[in-house]
Amino acid sequence: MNPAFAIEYLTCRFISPQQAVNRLGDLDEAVALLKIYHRFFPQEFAASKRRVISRADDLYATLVDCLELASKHLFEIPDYCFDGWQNEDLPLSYIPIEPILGEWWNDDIEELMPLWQVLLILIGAWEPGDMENELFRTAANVQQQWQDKVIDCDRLTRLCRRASVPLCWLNLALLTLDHNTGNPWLDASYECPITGVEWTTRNVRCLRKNWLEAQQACKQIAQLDEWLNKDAARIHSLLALWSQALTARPRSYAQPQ
Amino acid sequence: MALIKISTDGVEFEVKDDIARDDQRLREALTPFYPEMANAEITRLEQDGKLIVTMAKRAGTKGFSRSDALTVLRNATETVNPAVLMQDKLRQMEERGELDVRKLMRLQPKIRRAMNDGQKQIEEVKASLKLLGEGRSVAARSIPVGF
Repeated sequence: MNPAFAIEYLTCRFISPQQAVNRLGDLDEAVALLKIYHRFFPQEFAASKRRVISRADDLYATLVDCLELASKHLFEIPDYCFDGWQNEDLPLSYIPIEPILGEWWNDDIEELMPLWQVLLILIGAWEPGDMENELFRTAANVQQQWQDKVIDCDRLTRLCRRASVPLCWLNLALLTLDHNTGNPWLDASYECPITGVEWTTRNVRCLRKNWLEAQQACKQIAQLDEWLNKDAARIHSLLALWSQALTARPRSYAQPQ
Repeated sequence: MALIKISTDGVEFEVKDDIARDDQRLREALTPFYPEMANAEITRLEQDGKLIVTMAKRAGTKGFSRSDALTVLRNATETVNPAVLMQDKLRQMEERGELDVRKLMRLQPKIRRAMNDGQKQIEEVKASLKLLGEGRSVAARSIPVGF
């Protein structure tokens, strides 16, 4: 063998102990995902389990297959996770939990759905510029009258149980706007991401259940928004329910006159 | 027969005179039972025609001496970090086309063990190097060749 070639051959194969530990760590995480593949998609896994791994790309191709199946059948894996897969950039360490509804505070509020705008007015987080819109004008007027009151979420939840569809989902909409539902897909944000959820069977099952619940919640919120948007007069029903859940603003939080 | 007295714990016993009179043989005879007697101070006296040998442990330096450290280093077995060995094994399997998904899954416990042991060894090496780096320099007794 040519000495220069021999040196190059050996140099390519030399790795430091820390590099070896890191590479084994990557493989350990990859195997955790392969177990999910085996557990949740046994037929597809059976077809690929004999796939020979002769290069790193062979393993990554199998992992991409698994992630695509997970994204299709379990919960959405964001597209950006696949962009760099050839660069060994797959989400192997933790399950990526992408906020379903994004972050309303980073969007143009006037572009948000009317229900969101009405709720933001009612909680005093936004003052509409467009007072021509009956929904917003009505909401802004009553909010002025309720300056000394705040919403009691527990009371609203109890009242919503007795309300008719789709108004019964008003508390769900408020909690979703507040990222406080207890569902990671609805509560996560880019500012406060939910990280560290490993690829285990238990976590995947749990997130799948949460995903279905989050999808259902989004449908219910969309239904309430549609109902409100169809007839501006319906805001009075919403405000009637809202007003029953108001409570006196704690003195320490009273706004200066 | 000579009487041997171990001064540290007051134990007394008899050994043959020819052994008792020879420091080296006496130490060799006692070291398996009293390792600290390997460099004991030995005093002999005769009373009524009987040889009495008193052995006292010699006070040594506290802690780990330089010679001890060198001995440990010389005697240490050479090892390759287990993570490097496992990574090398996997690479060879890859090159021979012997690694598939199923095999990789079966190897996971070994991979994890090699990773953990390898990381532990890295930490130990780092700690040893840190200690060596922090060690106080000591003047050599002889001038190294070339100076």
